[in-house]
Amino acid sequence: MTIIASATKTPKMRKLIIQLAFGGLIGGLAGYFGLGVLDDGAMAADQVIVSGIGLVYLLMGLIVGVGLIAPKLGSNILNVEDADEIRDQRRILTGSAICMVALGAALMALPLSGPDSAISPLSAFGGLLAALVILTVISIRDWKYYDEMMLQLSRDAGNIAFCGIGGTLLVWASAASLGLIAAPTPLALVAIISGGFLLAIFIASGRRGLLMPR
Amino acid sequence: MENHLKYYREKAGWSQGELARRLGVSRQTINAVETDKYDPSLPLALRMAKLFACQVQEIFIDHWEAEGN
Repeated sequence: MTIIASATKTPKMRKLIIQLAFGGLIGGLAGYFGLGVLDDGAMAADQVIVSGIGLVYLLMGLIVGVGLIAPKLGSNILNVEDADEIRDQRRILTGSAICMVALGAALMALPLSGPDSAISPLSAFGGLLAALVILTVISIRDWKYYDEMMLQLSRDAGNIAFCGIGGTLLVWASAASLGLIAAPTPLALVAIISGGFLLAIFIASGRRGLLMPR
Repeated sequence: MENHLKYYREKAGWSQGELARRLGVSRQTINAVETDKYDPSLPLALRMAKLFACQVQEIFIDHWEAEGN
């Protein structure tokens, strides 16, 4: 029994170490170079936070994309049992990767845009609208491929996001209306909404055991 | 909810992927049910019982007792 337990634990542990190392490496490099380039001291806190959230979406999308292109490699860096599971879920994972890359890029463009910037405000806004259209179309298209647990997970994440984002905005706006704290900036609102959804997805996935190494 | 899905699946000699394919759900769903992280819908539980030729209550164990019993 002990031998079997150790034998099954070792590959799991190895995979967990690979996942942590890979995630840490990519996240660290992206954070260092990405945010280092973005934040040359001229960016406000809300701009850096929105860029950071955009970077997380973008990296998640790219990592899933790498897993789709090379399922064998993907089975080591994504939380799946083997390469076949990636192939089985190809349609849904492709949609997710496209959505995350589009949304991540659009979020990163927001704080970088300005009248004197290479990205005009209209382009940044157009990019965000395009990302939302892509997200909506893919979500509607893929909805029928979700099984019952994935549908439940979406509902859970939606509920958590609604309560978390709504609660945060209610408290912040109420306190600001009383002059106790500064009102949220437009980019702070973007950060709360986009970050809130991201956090909600992690919480909902964690509650269903999807973040446990497999 | 406590369940014996893994026992029935292994008894049938199926992997999680094979059971998922037969039931038309994802492997993640089978894994989540086996680790008690997700209780399947009634239709899915009935399909599981049909697949293993047993009663639903043989796979899923509910310790609830009606008051007064």
